[in-house]
Amino acid sequence: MRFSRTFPWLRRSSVDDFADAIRGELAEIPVPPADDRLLARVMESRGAGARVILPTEDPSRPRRGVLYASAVAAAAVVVMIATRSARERRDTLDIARNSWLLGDVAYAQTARADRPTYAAAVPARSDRLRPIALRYERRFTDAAGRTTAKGGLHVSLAADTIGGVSVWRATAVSMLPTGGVEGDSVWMATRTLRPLRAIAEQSPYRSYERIRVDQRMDGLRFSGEMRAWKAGAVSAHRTFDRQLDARFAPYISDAFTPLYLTTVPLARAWTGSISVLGWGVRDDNVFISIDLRVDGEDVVRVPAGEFACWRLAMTYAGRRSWYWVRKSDGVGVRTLDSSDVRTRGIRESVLLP
Amino acid sequence: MATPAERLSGADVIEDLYRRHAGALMAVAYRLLMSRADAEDVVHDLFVGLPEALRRYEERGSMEHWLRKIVVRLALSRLRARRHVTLQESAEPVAVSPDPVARVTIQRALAALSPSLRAVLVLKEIEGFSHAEIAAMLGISVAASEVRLHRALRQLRALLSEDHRA
Repeated sequence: MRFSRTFPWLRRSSVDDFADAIRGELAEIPVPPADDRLLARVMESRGAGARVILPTEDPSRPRRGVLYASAVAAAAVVVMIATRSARERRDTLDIARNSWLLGDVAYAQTARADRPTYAAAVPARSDRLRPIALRYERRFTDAAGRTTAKGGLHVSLAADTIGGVSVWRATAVSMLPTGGVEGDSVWMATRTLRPLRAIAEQSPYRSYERIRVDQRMDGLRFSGEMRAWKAGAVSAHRTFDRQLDARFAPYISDAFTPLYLTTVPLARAWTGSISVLGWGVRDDNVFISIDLRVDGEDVVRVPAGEFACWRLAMTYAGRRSWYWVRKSDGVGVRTLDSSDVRTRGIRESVLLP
Repeated sequence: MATPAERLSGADVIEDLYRRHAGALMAVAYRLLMSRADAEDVVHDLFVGLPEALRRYEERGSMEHWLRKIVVRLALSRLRARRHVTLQESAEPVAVSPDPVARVTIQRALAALSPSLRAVLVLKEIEGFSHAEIAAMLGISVAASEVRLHRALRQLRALLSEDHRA
């Protein structure tokens, strides 16, 4: 009996005896080290301005005194956030779009001086694309596991034409947790999936009834215009004309991100980098470079069903989040981000039936 | 005269605290999450938020105990978030010694427990928290914590026995 020698305490009858015997064995289970690489990641995040509000108190059953103090503290936090938001509203028109894949702070850091970590994740299998319609639910959860906000996303892919040339059109309509609606459409070359034209609209947008950004892409030239309406009339207007950096290609519009990996052959330990385009109007909202790595394989249960998935670690701007795509067709099934300093909790998207 | 919080919140102090405590904190997070990547994320988040959190540190207990409780709360939050995921390879074996067979077997059995049972087992038997502390962290009663520990131990023994017979 090999294990009689290995685990002699298995023969002990009482659970207490078993607990006494297993305690030392459990403590001996090897754990990964906290190394310099992780410390460097911490310092990088702090340097990039990331902040995390830590749960220093247990979320349940607060004492009366603590309850009052917590209420005061919570009010203070709300005041701080509201004050900051008001300041941002005054100073800026377009800070960041609300990305399905990345959250709403992803574009705060877009102009990196270095190169992507991995080779470009090129769409080698664009022939796998088919017209499709998908629905996602987005949930925001606080540190105690309570759902604090919900939203939805409809994504579709259809064949279209621009000037008589066949293209793909991806459309994403987001029901934002704030109650607003954001719509994105992008037209892409059928083989390379290079964006050719895109339109982003959001309503309402800060103090405006509506904002619309028209984008055109010609090679690495990225140009367009933004208009925002108040009282039915255009109240703000800007144009932009930029040259994208070839090192950070491929560039992808946010509307297409749930489907992009259908065109990229994934495998164990696969790595690749992509860049998701922002609105392009402001200098700090042009694109965000993302490093992707297949980190494992999970069976993921979401409202749409249970799927064998690749689990991808996404790293961008000092943050890391998780993304699960179906092995069968590469469709995005779930995202999970607990590093979003604005939501101060967990942001999750799941595929609906 | 600097306050305790001010003394503790310098950037160089973060590195010092990391050198002193990160290993133990990583162990707590890993045993709860059974995933190196998730454990690293938890430790990362802790140290990113530490300078601000230190202003709420009152030096009543040991620094390590305070940090461990925060790590546990972060890890539990992450466990709740991934409740829809069934891991095929839930335990990611790391370097094993001195008895590789026994270590990997126990590690797999621990990973096979439900997160709610594993949390109580890890917090009580490895980390040494009291049932009252565990109950507060998990938002359950002390009695429920005791019941979960008993169930966790019984299931762990059954899992090891199955492996033993296999």
